Amino acid sequence: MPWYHTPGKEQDVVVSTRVRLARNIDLYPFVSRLDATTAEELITKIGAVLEEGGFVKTDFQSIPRTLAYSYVEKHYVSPGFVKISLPHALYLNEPCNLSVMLCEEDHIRLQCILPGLSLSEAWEGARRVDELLDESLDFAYDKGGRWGYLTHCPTNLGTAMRASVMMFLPALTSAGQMDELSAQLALAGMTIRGMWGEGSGATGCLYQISNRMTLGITEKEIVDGIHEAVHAICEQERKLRASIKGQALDQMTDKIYRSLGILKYARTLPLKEFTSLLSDVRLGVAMGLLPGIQIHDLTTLFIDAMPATLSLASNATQASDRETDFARGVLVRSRLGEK
Amino acid sequence: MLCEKCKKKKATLYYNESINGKRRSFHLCNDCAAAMETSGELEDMCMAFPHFDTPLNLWEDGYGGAVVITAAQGLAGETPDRACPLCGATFAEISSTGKVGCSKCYEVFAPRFLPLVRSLHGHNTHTGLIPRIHRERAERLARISKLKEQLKEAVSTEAYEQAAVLRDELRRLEANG
Repeated sequence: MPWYHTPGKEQDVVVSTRVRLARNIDLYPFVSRLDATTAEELITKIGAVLEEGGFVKTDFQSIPRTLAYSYVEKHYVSPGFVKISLPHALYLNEPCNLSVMLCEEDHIRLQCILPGLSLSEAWEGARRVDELLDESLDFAYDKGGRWGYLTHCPTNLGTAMRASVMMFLPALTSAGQMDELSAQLALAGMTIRGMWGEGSGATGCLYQISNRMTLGITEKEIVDGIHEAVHAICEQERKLRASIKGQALDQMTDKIYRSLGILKYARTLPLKEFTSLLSDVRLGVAMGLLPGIQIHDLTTLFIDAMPATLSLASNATQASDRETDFARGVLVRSRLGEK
Repeated sequence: MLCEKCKKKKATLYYNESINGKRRSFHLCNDCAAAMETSGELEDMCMAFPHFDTPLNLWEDGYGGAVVITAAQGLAGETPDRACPLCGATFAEISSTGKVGCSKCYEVFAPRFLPLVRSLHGHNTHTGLIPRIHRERAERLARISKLKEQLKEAVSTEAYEQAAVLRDELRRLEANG
């Protein structure tokens, strides 16, 4: 079962947790200096170990574009992975919570993604894949021990680990506190970004908090640091939500029900409008205003209603925007109870 | 002037340190400087001067006053088109793309990566996981370092019997390396 189909801890504020490790194979050029033959050779070499470990290969060069983008929407691969011209491949495990991108920015980008706040579990998952690969492959590593795992970009040296938590922060966003929070996190060596990672704006009040530093810090320290920051942000967000009272609460409740009403009855739903309405409903569920709706069902709906995933489900690989918006309306009505 | 370490190549760098009042200095060629960086000899230096923004502030051009070298500028006197023997990348290419060519580049251009890495991470020493093939060596080096400290302590307290045991253990470990 995919990560977004199950409930998670602290899910009123935290959507998902992801831990990724970057690895390269010693004595092979990094990806920007690889030729197609050597890239294929690397994929075969690393892929053999992953297949031994039960992973299933998806050859990204030969899959339909819509399927590739649906993997981005499900967070199995990065947006950049779809645009690579060199041979590259994805390996997924059965529940799809462990994914390994080969020949992305590094030879190996492995990740564990879980619902809710599960940093230790996600780290354990990533570590298991790392150990599987480490048994048979020689990773590029500073033999002097100084810079740790050697990576394509020096920003990832050391642990080559990024732990990130996707958070739903509507109260902090509407209170105009995101800039201040961002500055505080930067001081603590962390980064906050919009939902799809680097260079993207925040969608539906969803933010990703991750460690910036990877060297001079242990993997456990990274996990603990992010955990502590996320807990503090959860408290701030909940405190702000709880402080909404009287007329402001009435107005907010009205807005949430209106948003639910549109989602239940609208015939077409453009992506931007859908994202905003779903964010309102998610807040309503998180605050206990909408009993009967499960919060993780909204996460599932959010991903299923993304353009590529939606097109795949409706077998409309070349759907126009209008057709996609209509298909989204059908999907949302079916999930939220009104046919 | 020839490099004081290899005594073969021309010295292009003057390295000067002062730790707790104890001074030492070398005239080095780029390769020996890189080797010293890689072996970690200069790492101790960096840690001894935490108030410096970048350890390259410790590098001086002995032939014309102090220079502050940025990662993009490269080391004084180095051939600008020197390429990594494994992947062929030059440091100019790495600087312009922000992407390193291969793992060997980190070794070849170590002195130039040093300030960059430190400014990016605020650190120059990895403390996390170690891959299987390097784990045994790392553990042995850590053990040697600890034994050396214990030996020093034993000698200073005149615990000579204990010192002899520690020395034998040290010799055994160093012989295995």
